[in-house]
Amino acid sequence: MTADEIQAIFFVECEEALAAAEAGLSACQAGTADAETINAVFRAVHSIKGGAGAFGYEALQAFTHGFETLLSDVRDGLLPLSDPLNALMLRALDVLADHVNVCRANGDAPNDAAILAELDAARGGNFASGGAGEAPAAEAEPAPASDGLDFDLDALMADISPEPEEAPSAPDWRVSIRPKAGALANGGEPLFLIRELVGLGAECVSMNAEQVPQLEQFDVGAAYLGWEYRVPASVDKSAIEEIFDFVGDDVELTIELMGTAVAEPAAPEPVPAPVAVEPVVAAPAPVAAAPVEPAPVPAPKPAPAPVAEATPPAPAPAPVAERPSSDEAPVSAGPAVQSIRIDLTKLDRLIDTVGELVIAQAMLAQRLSAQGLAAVEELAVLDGLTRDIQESAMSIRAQPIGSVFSRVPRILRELEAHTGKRVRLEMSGEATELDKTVLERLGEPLTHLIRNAVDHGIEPAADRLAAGKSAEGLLHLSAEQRSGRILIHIKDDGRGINRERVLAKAKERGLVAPDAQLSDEEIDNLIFAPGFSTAQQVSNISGRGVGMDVVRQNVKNLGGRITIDSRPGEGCTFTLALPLTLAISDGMIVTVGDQTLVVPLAHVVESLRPTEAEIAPMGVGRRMLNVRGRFIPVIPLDRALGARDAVADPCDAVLIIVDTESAGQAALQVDMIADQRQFVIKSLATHYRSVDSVAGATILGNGEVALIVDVDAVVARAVNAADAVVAA
Amino acid sequence: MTDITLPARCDRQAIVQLVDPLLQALGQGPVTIDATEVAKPGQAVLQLLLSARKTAAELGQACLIKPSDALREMAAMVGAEGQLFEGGAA
Repeated sequence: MTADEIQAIFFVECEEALAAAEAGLSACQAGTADAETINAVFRAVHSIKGGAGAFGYEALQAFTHGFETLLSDVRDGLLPLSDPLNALMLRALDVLADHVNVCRANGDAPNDAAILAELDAARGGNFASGGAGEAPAAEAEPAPASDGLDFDLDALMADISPEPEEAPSAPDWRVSIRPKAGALANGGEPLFLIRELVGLGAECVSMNAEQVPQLEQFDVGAAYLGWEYRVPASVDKSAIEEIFDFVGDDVELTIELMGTAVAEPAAPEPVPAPVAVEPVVAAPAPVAAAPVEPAPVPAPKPAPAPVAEATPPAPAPAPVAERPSSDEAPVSAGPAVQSIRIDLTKLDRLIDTVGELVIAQAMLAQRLSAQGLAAVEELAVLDGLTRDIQESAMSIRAQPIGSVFSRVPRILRELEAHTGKRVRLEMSGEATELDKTVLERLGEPLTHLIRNAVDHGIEPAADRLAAGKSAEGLLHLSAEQRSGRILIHIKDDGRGINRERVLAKAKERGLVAPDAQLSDEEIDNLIFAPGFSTAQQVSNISGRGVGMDVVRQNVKNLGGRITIDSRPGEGCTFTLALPLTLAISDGMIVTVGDQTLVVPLAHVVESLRPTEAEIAPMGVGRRMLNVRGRFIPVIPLDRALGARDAVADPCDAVLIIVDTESAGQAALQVDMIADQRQFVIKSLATHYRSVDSVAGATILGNGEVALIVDVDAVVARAVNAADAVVAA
Repeated sequence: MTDITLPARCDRQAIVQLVDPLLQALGQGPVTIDATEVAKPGQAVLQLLLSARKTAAELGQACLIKPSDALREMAAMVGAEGQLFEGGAA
């Protein structure tokens, strides 16, 4: 594995850690946090810090250190959770995310001096300079901010007040470090760890270079050096250990108190060897350890009396009772869930192979069917197994949508800051899973929709109050799986779409004819028209008239659809219907003349063979289908896709009623429906080039290639062409 | 006097390619290692420089290291200033 690959993993882990921290801090804000919640946030930030140190991202490391210090106080119960503290921690998390992004893009580190100062001040219970503007309400101390002094009086007083009498300087830590070859492999760099140690105030006592050979014997991969550092006693031992957590047993590490052995004789108990030496090599057990007895080493006690007194710098004993130590596993009795990290390309290869298996299975079924063996039991078993394998393979790629939702609080915080509006976020269905690729591409449209909801939908507080609503807007995100698709709802309780204004704007821009009569649904859909925007002024949030167009295109590229449900004065709900996966889908296999085509089932509403009475001619060569009193256009697929010898009379053909994004419903005319089954989507753009009205291709059971109909494009093109004819 | 210049990025690959030329140069006479461009020195380059100094001492040759600020700072941090920069003459 190369250093770049390891670094890539680090950034993936950063994303996971940031998401975990965001979830934890959101729980703190919602008042549902427990001890483990804040512990999880601490661990997340700490793990980023570990990696940052190992990869030499000094600014990131310094920031995480500051953040972690505060979190440590919260975790240890020294600092009670409060609204201003939660707000500060969330802002710190935003800056942390910026730091990570900057490291990934090799950019300049964000200016974090102010927030670091706030974090530091917060440790003294001082939130005065925070952005939330809320006073530390529940604080027992007399609020020091009220005197107008802009320094931390408590901290100052603490500095001035006489030290507790047992201040006689405690012995410093002696830290011996000897990296092994493994610490240098794979882009590892022990000096980054040493730099971190120096950041704690460590000073080099000696470097041992005895093992460095002459150049003739020099091995680039070997580690020859060892160091001894002196670290001030004020530094917590765990802080030293944490620096080396990340490298595990690749570094031999010993931490002991300087001069412990000398100071010891006065110890009352005749303990044989009280030297508090703890080899901290993180390995579970020495590999070649004595097989029988674990040796009567006096278990690594927290060191004898004088040491115990010297170590705790904390002012109060603090309720440490049931709090697990920082690195302990979460308190769960059951077996830990194990996981491995897999290169995505390997997974994609597996999915491809499963796709081929689905095709091969279909071919076999067809072949057997031709031999009159369609009902053999083995075929049914194979069918079931193929589906199981396919679902299992898909589930490996599936991830909870919570990973995308977790970024929303930050987006909202930024929007609130820009717009001055207050928005409450509610989320549900975060555990709903969908394909990783779909998830990755979902972020952008979701962000657009949220920005749109806050910028255009939710009213300013004054307007809301005037309308009898609460000053705080509500944004509800939810996800659910329904009939093989994922539905994501983005719902706000704002003013809804102003249809008169939208229609007027559309007419002004020539998007619709001046005398056009549009239904509410059609007007709502105008906001997705390219270049459409009703924003009075262009803001950096939305209003450039490209957002919603891009949203629809992005969703469509994912094989999904977007619909709007707007109620004036009550709010607006955007619903994204997305496929579970991009690789395999369900479809109707239809024949049209000499062609076999696939109509994705997601669009299909129903299919029927019409009577003559249900078909009404309209204009030149156009027909409409009367579906229970509603007329929809009939679109012969042969004309749309260039098939020959298709059935011409709709009454002899089959009509498949489909639902589309932009053009409502239509009836696709095909000769017959041959089958309804899963199909493996092969990109036409990858293998040939993208073709209008064709969404891709698939291989059928008989080995033939069939084109997948791009229902949206076919219907939109046919309807627009007809409109043009009518207009002419 | 042979001058050997270290690249800005002294990673393992770069170091592998420096060992032989350094050894050869030291076999022929005094060497100046120009490390003024070294940007992010790590343990590997530190070891190389120490090994070069050790070899030079063994051969009775001068080996002078011209450090970059980053290298000097690192050497101070890890207590290697004396072994890297002091003396160095045969």
